[in-house]
Amino acid sequence: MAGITPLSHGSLTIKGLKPNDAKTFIGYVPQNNQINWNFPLSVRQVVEMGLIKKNTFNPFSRGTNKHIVEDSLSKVGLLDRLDENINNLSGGQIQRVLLARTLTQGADILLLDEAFSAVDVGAEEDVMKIINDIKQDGKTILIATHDINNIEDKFDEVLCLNRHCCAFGDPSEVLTEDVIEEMYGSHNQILREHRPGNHGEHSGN
Amino acid sequence: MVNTVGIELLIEPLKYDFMVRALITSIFSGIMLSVLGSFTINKNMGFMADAMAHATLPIIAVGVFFGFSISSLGAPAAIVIALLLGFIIKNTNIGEDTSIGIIFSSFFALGFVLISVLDVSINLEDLLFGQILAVSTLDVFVLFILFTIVLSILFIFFKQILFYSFDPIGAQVRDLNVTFLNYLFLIILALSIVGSLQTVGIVLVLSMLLIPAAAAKLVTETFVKSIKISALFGGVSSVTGLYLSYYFNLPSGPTMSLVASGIFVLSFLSKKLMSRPKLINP
Repeated sequence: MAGITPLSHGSLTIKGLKPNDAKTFIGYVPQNNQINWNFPLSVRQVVEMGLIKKNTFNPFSRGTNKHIVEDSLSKVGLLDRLDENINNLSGGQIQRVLLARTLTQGADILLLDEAFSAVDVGAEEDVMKIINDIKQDGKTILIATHDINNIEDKFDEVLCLNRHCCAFGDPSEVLTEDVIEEMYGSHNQILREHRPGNHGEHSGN
Repeated sequence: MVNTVGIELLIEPLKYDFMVRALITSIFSGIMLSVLGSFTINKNMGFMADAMAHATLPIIAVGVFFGFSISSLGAPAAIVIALLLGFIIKNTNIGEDTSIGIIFSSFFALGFVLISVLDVSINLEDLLFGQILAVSTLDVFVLFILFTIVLSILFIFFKQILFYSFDPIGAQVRDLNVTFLNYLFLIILALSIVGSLQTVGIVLVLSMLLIPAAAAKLVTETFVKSIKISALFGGVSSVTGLYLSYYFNLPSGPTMSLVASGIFVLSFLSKKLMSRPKLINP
């Protein structure tokens, strides 16, 4: 969807366009380990990256850009951290900054790659609240995750993949034992008792 | 009185034309390398930069054999090396460090063999450690052109290169031409390295590239500020090293490197002192 990996077969269109032509609609939140954290960038600089295009040749920030950046940061509740070094933020705050970057971009479709892999439970709730707010603004949000805990509470629809489409639909309906086994294969014993609303005896619930 | 003596000490070497040329060269090289260095250290490309410097040897050997001066070979050599390194790293799956190591040692060895086989009259010591006092007016002019090109490209593509360096996949999704940006950075890095070979030489160019940038990173909070301070440290190291080498009859390239190292040590100590936990009064 992001136009990075070529399609092996089939076709994919976004708003009637091929993925490579639809990149302006896509806002991407990468996995934490895909980012080079060596760079001591400020929160402002990271959020402003949402405005960078292939014809951006001005190294300075325009006044109007500052308002867009501040607006996006206030939506994720981090306006007070505008000039903070991004490396000083927690995992959940970094996810919120990266979400603000997609808001700055004005993307209609947000792709979040393992959005909750580096955040604790409390921060995950904060990020989910912001995601729900963004959803209310009419944006489409797609999240890739391996964590199926409470999945029915978080998402409207799930697409279960394991080299092929195992199931698609309302998580409370499609996440059956067969589907979980199909997705996790031999590891499904751990998740055998996992159901929407029931996380099995191994989960401590 | 003290001020007058200080000014005389600064002006006295400049009565020699070769010292004026050396001073201009040292400022251009010091600033250009240290600005690029801020990107290089954060992109973990120090080894790549070292390989670029060493890989110039065979190109210089062949160029000098055909009658070209070392400075006029700078730009084409840099572009060839940058494209070659970028291509080999991208198209082999043996690991970036291994690829760089192979190119580094092979090219350096080839350079020595070519110098011997072609019987080229190159002073190897000057090439390895720099000979800033021997730069000609043409060398200064060529370096000025390189300085202008490198910093202009970095200035124009600053935001795109920074985005790509920080978040390569995010930049690709945002439709930036990441392959172009990758090669563009490699080319300007190679241009700055090759352009500075006469100042500090193949072996020591890395010190002027990395040390001021590393020292600046220690004492600054943000990337843009670290670039500015790195340029300052680079310029000060080069000029101070040049003056020290003049007054104490020291080799100029190594003296510049040692001044940069001194600045790094001071930065490290000041960082340590500033970050010491404060005692709370009982």
